[in-house]
Amino acid sequence: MRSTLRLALLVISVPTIAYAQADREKIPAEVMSGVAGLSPTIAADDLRAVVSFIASDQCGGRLTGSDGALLAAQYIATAFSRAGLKYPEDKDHYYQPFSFTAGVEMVTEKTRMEIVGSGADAAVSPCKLDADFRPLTFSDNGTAEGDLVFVGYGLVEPSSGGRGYDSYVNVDAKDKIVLALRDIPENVTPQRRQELALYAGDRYKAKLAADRGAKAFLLVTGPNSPNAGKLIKFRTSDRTSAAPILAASISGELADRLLAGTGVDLEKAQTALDGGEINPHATVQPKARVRISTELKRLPKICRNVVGILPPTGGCDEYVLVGAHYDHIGTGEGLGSLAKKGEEGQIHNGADDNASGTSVVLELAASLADARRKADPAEARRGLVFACWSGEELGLVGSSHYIEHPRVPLDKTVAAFNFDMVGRLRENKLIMQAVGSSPVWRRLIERRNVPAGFNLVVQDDPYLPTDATGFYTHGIPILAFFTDLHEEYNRPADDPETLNYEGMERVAGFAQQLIEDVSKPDVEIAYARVERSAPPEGRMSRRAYTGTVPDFAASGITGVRLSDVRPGGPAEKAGIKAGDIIVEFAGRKVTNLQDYSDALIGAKIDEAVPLVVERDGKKITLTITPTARPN
Amino acid sequence: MDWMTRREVFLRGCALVVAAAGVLSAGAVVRAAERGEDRFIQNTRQLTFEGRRSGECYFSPDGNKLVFMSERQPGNPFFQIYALDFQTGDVSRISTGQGKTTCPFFQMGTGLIEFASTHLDADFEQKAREEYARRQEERQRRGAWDYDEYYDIFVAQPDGRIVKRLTTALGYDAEGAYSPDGKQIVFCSMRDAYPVGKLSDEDRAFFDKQPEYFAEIYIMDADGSNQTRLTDWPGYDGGPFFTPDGQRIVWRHFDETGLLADVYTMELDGSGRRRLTDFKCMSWAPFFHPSGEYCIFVSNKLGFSNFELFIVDAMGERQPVRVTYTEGFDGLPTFSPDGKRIVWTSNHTDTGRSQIFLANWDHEAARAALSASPTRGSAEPASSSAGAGGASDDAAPGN
Repeated sequence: MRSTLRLALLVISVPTIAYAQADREKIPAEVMSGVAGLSPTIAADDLRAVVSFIASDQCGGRLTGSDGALLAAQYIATAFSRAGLKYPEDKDHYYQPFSFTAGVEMVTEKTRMEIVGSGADAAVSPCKLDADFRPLTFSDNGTAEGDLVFVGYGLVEPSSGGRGYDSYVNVDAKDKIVLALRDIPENVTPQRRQELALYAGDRYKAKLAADRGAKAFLLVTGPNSPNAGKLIKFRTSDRTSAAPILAASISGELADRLLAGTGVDLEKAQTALDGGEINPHATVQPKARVRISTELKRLPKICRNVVGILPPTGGCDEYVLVGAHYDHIGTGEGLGSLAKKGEEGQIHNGADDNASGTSVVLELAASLADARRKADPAEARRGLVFACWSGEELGLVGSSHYIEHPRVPLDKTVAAFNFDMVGRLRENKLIMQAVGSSPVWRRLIERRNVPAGFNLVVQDDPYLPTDATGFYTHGIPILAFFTDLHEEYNRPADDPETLNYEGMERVAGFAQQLIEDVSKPDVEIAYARVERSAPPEGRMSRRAYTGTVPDFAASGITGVRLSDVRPGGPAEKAGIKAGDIIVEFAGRKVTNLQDYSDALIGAKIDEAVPLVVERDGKKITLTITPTARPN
Repeated sequence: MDWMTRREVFLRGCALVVAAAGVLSAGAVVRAAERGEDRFIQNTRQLTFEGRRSGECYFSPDGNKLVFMSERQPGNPFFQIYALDFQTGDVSRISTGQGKTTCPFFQMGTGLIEFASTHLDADFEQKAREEYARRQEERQRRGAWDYDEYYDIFVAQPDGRIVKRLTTALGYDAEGAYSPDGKQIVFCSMRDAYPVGKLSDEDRAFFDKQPEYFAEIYIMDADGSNQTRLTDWPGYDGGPFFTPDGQRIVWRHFDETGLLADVYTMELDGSGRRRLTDFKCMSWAPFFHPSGEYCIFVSNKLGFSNFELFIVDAMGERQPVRVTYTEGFDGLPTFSPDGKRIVWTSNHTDTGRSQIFLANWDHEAARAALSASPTRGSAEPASSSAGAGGASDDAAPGN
């Protein structure tokens, strides 16, 4: 069977052997003894034991790259070893190290910007860092010089049904320094704002400029927008990688200076654009030339996926991948912690997110490996790849690395299962996501659930905020298991004792049957294309602030129930109370969190809009005035 | 919602129900347990997921299988008949895969299944092409489509081999159900409208507009002999079943306008008609609980496109009690032989199209609620959760 693991053609990442060996040598005794106590069958007690270790304070919340994450990886690798899983012979271990950006620092002495007079008027006018300009955290490093071109909002929206928005019509951005307004036109309809906001993220706009050959990208917050003229904050905690272009935000004052003498007045230009005009000044070239240098130091760190393989049998050469992320958000800083007042900075143990999914993968590995050992080796079965990812909470970093450097060929990987937050089975409700990724799923799910008996909620959408989606966009059908959000989500209180281990045992048993179904080579798992509305990376960050705290645990209601209302915020001023259910915002129906989020993207700052809440069964119309989030 | 057939009259409110389904189709659908739906039904779950839609289902006499209709046959847009095994989850096709089918039912003791099918219609493939084209253009189906005159009743083995054709008359023969002893079948037929050429001008006008007006209840022996008409009442008579003791037939009668329907029972010879419902709306799809004490049915009493389940006592003496509380379509309910489970068809799914739902049934709670319900004709009960009955006396024509 070894031949199927010959992967000589694959590009290898750069794990250092010494590093991996050192890791193995220092595996703590309690990891060894903990794993040794696990049974080869799926059992609630095993699941509890795994979660109790992975979600213990000892693992410290498993922040990617942390010692706690390493400890969890050691536990997982030990369990894989005990289950008899393999790793490719040209690899050193189950570990698949990857590097990631743990933060970013500006090298101020190498970060400069100057206005370079053109032609005879060759005077150089320096710009002041942190007053006139400031690099964006995703800026590339280097120096660029070129003529300035103003591209309005710098938006490109794919046209559909006669719609579409393209700031680059008749603009030659090649070798230019592109100047764009931040965000989207201020005065278009809420509906239109929502559509455009999908393509208006800072980084997305910078990439659009790069795609058109620009040398650098400058962003200014227009005089009509919230935080007018202010520089964008440089967050050293940003873990983003470099975009393929130099990028900086500039002050309104500097923008005025750059545009002076061109006949373009930024405020007038923005006002015209805000009314819906596309790029009225595209053909007007500011008579300015800009030189910019940026130097950012990204702090590289290493973490690791843990990947174990059950090779195919009986001449089959295909695989099914079974994955879950094991990382979490450490003590929560900069990673979307929802810690309540007084809980900040504590260890976020992430029992449900995602020690639960990790424990299910370990149990599946043990039980399916055991079944393989007992099966006839001549019987054709697809291989199984068990993968525990890190870097998920930073933006699917570990699974993305695997997709670039797969341990078995991706074109031989016929399906990918994902378990992310499966520890809170309540009222028998199990959510099956990405069911639309293959026509085979509904048939298999229907059959296996008749005896399994879950109250299933099936959802077609394969574009999920979890690791499996990267496989789907690489042509692999996926299936994701989920037991829904809850009150402890992304809080330090997401602890082992809050999980339903009997429920997890049932989820794992159900999944095992589905995995066994698709392990049969004659079961064709056709890929189905599902339309995606817009690239998530293109989304503009929300800037309307309401001071509402949605209740993530709410289910069985139509609308968004609020667990809290921030003191002094617009919601409190509007008379909204904790427990209210928002059902309408600015004339738009709100049935779920996604609707609410979309409605907020469409909201204008400082403009009063009607909002309908349900309170004690009655609908009440209130008026809320969203304010601007800080830049 | 363009359901066809049986306990499921062609719904005149297609557009409305489709619109309601659109609202429901976004994301997870949660049933309204907190509003009282868990009073009689618990642990509700969606049972079928495959195919464009599924619905109308009946337990086998041992309760281990479920026969149902589903649009999941590749290349055929119409319902086919399938049997599901509760132990394994295995689903096997019972009908031929050709033509349209409807209304399956298990025979006691033999494992055989009767159903109506048009697979012998030479024009079937053309009709399938037209149906696909219609879906492409998203046109509304015309009412007359449902009552294909080539429907006849067949009997098949569990492996799908057809063992007998029971009816041959031109005109819709369908909606069959075996008697509890398996010896007789009660069904619905439109054969009396044929040949259409012999209809009077007035009847012909009715036929063109509303062919189901000619549907009447028939009874026959299990081998297809002794086919006898039981009703002679203007309006669509359909959806018949035997009561659990085999002594009476429960069915649904539409008035001449085709807008109002109510549930009735009668003797096996068509005499002794008894009215169970009087909501002055569409009350249909009746099916008796195996205890024989009460009957479950569907009504749009609470809104033209909001079909909910209700129960009413066997004699129709008390006001019906509401069972489901979820907006949209809940219909075609049937019970397991032990009376402890209920299956029905609902569009509370992620696609907004119908699939089959399964729940536990609380017989004792249902009995208690019915015995506490006011008698028919008395004032509306103060508690709205008890449902509401019609207020008028039974004054059906022909009674």
